[in-house]
Amino acid sequence: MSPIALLIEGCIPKIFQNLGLIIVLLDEMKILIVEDELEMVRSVKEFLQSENFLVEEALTYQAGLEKVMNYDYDCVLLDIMLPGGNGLDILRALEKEGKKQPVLILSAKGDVEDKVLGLEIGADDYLAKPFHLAELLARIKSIIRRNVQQGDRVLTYKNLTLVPDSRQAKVDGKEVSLNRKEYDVLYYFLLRPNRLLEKTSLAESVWGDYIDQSDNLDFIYSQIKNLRKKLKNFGAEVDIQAVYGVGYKLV
Amino acid sequence: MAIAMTAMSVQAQEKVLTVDQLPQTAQQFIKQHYDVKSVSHVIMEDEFFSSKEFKVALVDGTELEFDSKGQWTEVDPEKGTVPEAIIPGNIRSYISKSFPNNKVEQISRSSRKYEVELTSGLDLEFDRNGKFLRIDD
Amino acid sequence: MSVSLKTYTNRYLVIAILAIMAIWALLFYAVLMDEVYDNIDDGLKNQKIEIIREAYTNPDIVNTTVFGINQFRIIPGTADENIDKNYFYNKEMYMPYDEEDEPYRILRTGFYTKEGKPYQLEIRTSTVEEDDFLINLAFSLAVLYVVIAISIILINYLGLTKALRPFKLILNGLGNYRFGNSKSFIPIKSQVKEFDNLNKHIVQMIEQNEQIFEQQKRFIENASHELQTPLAVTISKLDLLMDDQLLSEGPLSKIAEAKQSLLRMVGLNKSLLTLSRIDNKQYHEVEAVNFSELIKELLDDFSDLIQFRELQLEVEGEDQFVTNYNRDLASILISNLLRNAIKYNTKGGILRIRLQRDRIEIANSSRGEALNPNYIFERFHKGAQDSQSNGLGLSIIRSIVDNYPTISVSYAYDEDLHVFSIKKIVN
Repeated sequence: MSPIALLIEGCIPKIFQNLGLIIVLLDEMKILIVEDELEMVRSVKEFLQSENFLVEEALTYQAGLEKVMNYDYDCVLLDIMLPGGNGLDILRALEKEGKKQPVLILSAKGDVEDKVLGLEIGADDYLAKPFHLAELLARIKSIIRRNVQQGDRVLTYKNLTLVPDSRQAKVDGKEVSLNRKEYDVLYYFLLRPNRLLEKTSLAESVWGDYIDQSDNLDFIYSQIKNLRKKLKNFGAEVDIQAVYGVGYKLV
Repeated sequence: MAIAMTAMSVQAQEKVLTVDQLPQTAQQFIKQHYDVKSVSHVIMEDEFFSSKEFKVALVDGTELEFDSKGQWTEVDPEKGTVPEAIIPGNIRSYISKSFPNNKVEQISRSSRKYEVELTSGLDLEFDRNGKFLRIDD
Repeated sequence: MSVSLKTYTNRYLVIAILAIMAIWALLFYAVLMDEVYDNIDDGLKNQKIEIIREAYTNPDIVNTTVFGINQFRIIPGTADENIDKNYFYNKEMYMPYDEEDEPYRILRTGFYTKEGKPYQLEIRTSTVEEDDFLINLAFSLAVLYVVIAISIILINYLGLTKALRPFKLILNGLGNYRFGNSKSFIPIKSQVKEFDNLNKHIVQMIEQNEQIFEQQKRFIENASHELQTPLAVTISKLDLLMDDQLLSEGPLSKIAEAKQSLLRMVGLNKSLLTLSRIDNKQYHEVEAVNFSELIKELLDDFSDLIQFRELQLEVEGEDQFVTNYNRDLASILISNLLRNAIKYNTKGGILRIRLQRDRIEIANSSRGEALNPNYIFERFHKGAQDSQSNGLGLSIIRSIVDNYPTISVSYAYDEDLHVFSIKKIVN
């Protein structure tokens, strides 16, 4: 393919992306990631930047505490095990100061107690490492959406609109019926239209632990097939394309 | 050594003596209370672990015993009673007081005590001074 | 066969007491009886002296030939060197006024009159009182014996009971002790030095154990954390790689496969962590869990998969299986069973759930034959056709019921169905 074609192919989705993702805000979203694993920070930063977030980082407890106290963020990604302290203490400090910041706790511990504790202290959500970057994106966007006051909180691409607050799906403004899982699948696709959503990411995000590795292949394929049929029947302009058997993307 | 000793004690000497071979004191005693002529025989016993003893038998059956020095140790009349003179005074008075009408049938003594047999058959013990000890019952 | 310490010591005590006291009682009785008779005999001997003396002052006395009020009689005897030898004996003699035989003690001896005539003298004395005394003595001794024996046994028993109470409490405490919960052993104060020491040592030991346990717990958690981090980093890098829209099929597929492999590792790590937590009894909080409800919820979550595999789902029974259990473990248990039942099923096969008050059955048809119950719960045992699973699902289940045995899980092959049954263990 010619470089220009490639360029256009690269740009157009991006334009649509920006049009499609209507969250009424004047600034770009600012994310703080408090995590001591440098490579992890780099991965997340690169990924979120590609999604047009501003990303700042803090690699220690002290740095994290300082940043969080002195600045405002649209979402704070907080690791629990930090050099110099416990991430939950940063959370407690925020609570004590009465400073409201949306917090997504990231932790490898996976301990139920920590999760509950974190949420009790005031975190908005909890994501266990390792996670799919797509999942991280979904959670961040959920948190932000919950905390944003103004604007319609909807996701739109082409003639398909999803209203997360009421879990409605509309084609050309008319409501169409989807079951729970179908809605979830579409929601995930709509977070990053025209981007590859890898099979296992999709499976874990929508069906969670109940899907075993070995079931992925056929099962996901059939779910997507059914969904595509439905979309066609509703007259949606969007479609779901398979990508080399690795995953799918919304087009 | 043991065999020698046994042999010696077996050879407990029993010698027949004549009256004049008795110690003087013994001879005196016999003369005083009895008659020398009534002596039947005299035996001297000499055992290894005890001192010499003299046993005198009278014709009428009375037996007298003397120690090595010739002091009398026993007087045992066959018939009749022990001559009163032989009996220590306080023994005699005790007997007449506590056991009236009793005679002394036999009397013996050691360094420590007197033993007296009465007519009734009772045996009495006195210390060497003649004080009443007990009835040997 | 082991008996209580009290019984043990009591056995020896009883035997010793029985023996010692019996011997002592008999000896005591014998000695006293001897004394009593000695007394009587002395009295008789004194009488003898008096009578003989009297005979010498008042010779008529020898004519007392029958026992009268004088309680002696004199009859002619034979001359003898040992005529005055004393001979004592007991004899029952008939008493007219009592009209029965009464016990007497008689001294037979002899003497000579002053004329030298030999006479036999018999003196008697009633031993009724003495005999009564001896009978009472024997009885008292027997009573004393029994009382002392019983007292010693009782005191031993009660004393030991009291002394051993703290020991028993300590034993109970030890029985209540749950590893991982240091508060579950309550130390007891005791006045007995040995038990106090025992207590102290137990508390020390428990503290040490708990410390080690905590260290282990933290170690396992930290190790898992350490493992997850490089996994997370790698997966995130692979995700970023796949994001590159300029990649062609070849590299993209390979990256996807690599990610899937890593995800298997992640799953394995999680399972191992769960297993070690279960074995370390970290899931000790319990609540009333309705397994019937839980199954229905999970069936709902699996509904897409069930539909996809066209399984015939039959849910029989409406009973509520409720028991006290850790909710997370119950969830893991049921979802593992369901997952297996779905995974190893044939397309269009049967998935049958039976809900009863004390029993839940999860049955599925399958491609294979009956499983060997001895092996299926072993870690990493894989069935014939499975390369993707990590073989830990069933062993997690086994770990759960081994460590929290208020329910049991068993397997049977029945009517061409693999049947897993969950049952309540009733104590």
